[in-house]
Amino acid sequence: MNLRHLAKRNIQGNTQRYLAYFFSIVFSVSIFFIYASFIFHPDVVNANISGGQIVRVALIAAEIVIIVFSVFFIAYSNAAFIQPRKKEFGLLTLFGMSKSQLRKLIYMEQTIVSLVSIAIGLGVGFLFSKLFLMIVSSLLAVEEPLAFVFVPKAFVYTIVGFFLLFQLLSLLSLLQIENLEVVDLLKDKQKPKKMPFVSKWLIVLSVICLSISYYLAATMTLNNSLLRVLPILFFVLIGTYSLFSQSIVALCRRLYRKKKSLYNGTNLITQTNLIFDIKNYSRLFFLTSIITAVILTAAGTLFMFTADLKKQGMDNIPQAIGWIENDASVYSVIEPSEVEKTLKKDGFKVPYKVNVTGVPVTTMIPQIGTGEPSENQSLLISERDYNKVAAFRKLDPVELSGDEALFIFPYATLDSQFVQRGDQKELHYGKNIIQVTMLGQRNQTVIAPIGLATTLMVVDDKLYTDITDNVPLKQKVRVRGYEVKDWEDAIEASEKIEKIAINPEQNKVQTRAPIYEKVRQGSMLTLFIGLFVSLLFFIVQGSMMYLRVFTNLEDKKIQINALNRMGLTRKEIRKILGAEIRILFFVPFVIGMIHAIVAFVALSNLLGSNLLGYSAIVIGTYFLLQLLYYQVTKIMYERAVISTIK
Amino acid sequence: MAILKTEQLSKTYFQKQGNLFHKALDNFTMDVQKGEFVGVMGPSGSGKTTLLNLMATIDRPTSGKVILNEKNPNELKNRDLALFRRREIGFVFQDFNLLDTLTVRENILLPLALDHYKQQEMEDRVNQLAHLLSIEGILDKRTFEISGGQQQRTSCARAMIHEPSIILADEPTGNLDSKSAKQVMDTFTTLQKEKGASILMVTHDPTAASFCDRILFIKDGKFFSEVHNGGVRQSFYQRILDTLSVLGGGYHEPSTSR
Repeated sequence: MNLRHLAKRNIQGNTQRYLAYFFSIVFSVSIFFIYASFIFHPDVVNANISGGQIVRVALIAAEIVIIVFSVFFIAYSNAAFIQPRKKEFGLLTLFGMSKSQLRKLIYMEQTIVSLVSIAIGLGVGFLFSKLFLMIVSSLLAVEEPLAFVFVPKAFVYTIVGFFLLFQLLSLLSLLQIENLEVVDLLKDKQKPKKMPFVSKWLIVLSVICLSISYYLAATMTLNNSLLRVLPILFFVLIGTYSLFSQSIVALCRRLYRKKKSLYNGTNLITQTNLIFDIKNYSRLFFLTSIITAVILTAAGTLFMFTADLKKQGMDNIPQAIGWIENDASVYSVIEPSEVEKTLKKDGFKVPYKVNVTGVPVTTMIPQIGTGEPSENQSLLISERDYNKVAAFRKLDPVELSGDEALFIFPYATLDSQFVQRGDQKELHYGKNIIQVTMLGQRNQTVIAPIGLATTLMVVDDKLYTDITDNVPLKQKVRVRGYEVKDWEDAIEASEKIEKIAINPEQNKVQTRAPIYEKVRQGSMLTLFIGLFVSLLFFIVQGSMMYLRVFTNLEDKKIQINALNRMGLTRKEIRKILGAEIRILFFVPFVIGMIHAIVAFVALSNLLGSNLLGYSAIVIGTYFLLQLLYYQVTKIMYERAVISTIK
Repeated sequence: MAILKTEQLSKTYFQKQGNLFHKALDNFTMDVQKGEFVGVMGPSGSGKTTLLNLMATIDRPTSGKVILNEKNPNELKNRDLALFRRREIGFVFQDFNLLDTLTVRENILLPLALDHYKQQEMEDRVNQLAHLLSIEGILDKRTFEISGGQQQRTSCARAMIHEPSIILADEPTGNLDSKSAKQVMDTFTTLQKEKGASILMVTHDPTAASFCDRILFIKDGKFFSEVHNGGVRQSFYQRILDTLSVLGGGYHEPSTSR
């Protein structure tokens, strides 16, 4: 028997402990490989498929996330593997194994595990890469799906990348046992567990930090979102860390003081176990709850964004087909009859049409960003025209009288305010100047916001007639629009219409379906790629719990064995074990979920739609997955502990 | 009245494959009277631990039976067996088996807490017992803050707190220095005299054994001889030593029981 044999035996003996770690690494290697085989796919590299380059960039970003996360996870796991084995290393040293032999042993063990997991990860990845290519092809709507080819570069990058990563981290983990005396190694477990330290002020700090971050997130707007992201992150991290290192400990102490419930059945064991492990748990709780929050928020955002796209499309592009005629007396861009013919031929119904004329006017309004007044062109339209279209679009009508005017800004997601209620504005039309009193501003789209009609100025019917009565039709601007039933399917019809239109500068016609389709494809792809990364994060956080549970296995066996001899029933033993992992799996989940819900509220505010229904789906799915992971861990753990009792 | 009886108790260990078997216990019959303090001695591999495990109901006999408080635990199912063990038997182990997450007080009242006693009653019983065994001063200490002797006395208190039919002690002085061992044996005697406890103790230590009322010697799974305490400890101790020398070597090796 040489060192290599010993290393192999050690791994076999610790299979149970290595299992979740192994599973996570295999998963991350295979995801990495699958992404790499797209990135280096000849068709993508040679830009043979449309949209391939964008996906490529997204995947490269995802690869970086995977690598960074793997580094963190592997380092964490290596440390967690060495910790409970200190006594074993102490014994080996006692029997005359030199430091360098011990290092070699650990290094060998880790290298064997890494090689096996890289190999299996590659195999799994290779098997599933065909499926991945097919799905991406269909999402990209390329006519010929990407062929399943052998991509040597993907193999090279995955193998070399992960191998180097493992080697580096193994070497780092060896430092852990570098400076320890044999006595310390042997005695490691006997070191008493201290009651954790609690300070009232740190609890207050955690509450304040979390409150600040939640407040900042919940009241975030698109304008200040960029400014607020970093402070929110800062406060969430500090708040969560002190929450777990302090508040939970304080809570446990309270529990401990309530002797009546403490001295009731197995509570005495579960609660005291928790209290004396809480210090070990708090860092893990912090990490996993942050990971949970990140997964839920990221996956939820992608999912909500995708699910909300249709509404966003309807909000931002008022009619399925819309165009502008800068000379209202003729149809120079496209004849309405042509549009109707095309739509009819493809079997689309038109619920309503828009036909609005107006006069282009200029006003001074503050610029976005600087706030300096600058000249802005708007289309002056009448209250009656506005209300007519607004009714079709289910928007509130306006009521204007005298010289009142309403400014319409077409980007609902921006909350920029350019005019205030009661502002006096001068509208310039040619040499004419019209004085109006502003009733305010609405951020919404009513008619196609193109060219001269990007912003609108709505005035009272009588005022409108007074101003425009003697303007010749030639100098007016006409905006046309056709809403289409089942517009998502009208991609081809929309493209045909755009082709017929005389629109050399591409700036007079707006159709909804093709734009929507492009964005939808993009976000489906992002969702698809993001899903795997989220899944990887999920598996890793579960593995960290699993690892923690199995790190304590030996102590736990001794405790349970003692309890069994004292006459604890199997049911009670299961109860104790279950309670322990339940806390591990679900406390971080709850905290992560609360973080995510706040993020969802903020996002709902930003997008201006109620997305909490979607967020419930995301959280629910995550909960079920977590429950599954919990059950598997529980079964493995029970089996490992109970098998040893007589 | 016999509180604990074994009748023709046998335990044979079979190899998983092959026909090799080992008779650890062979038609062993004994009893412990109510309020009696009985010791079991024998060389390593004589079947002491097997006997204790059978009486502790954590192992089942191949033939024969154990009667504890007029009940046969081997007729019970898993769950009832655990409850039987919890209520009828108190354990003291060589390695103390205290939970290091609990204070001394909590360790002692653990058996009561598991049976959902009222808090006031638990506290009363712990205080009374702690007073009897003079361990009041360490009640709120944690296990790693107290000495081995104190730990073992704590586990004696734990074994007695729910007033079981019998206390089974497995090498209770095996991990202790002689001064602590004496304190622990005094504790057993106090429990026997003051609380009327029936105690069965397996031991290697002739000094510890000399605190008993009666010693059973066991060899190769069979009853070997019996020595009674005539009231004078010194002569009882001498007779124990004599019997041990007749029994033959091996009894100084550490016990394999854990």
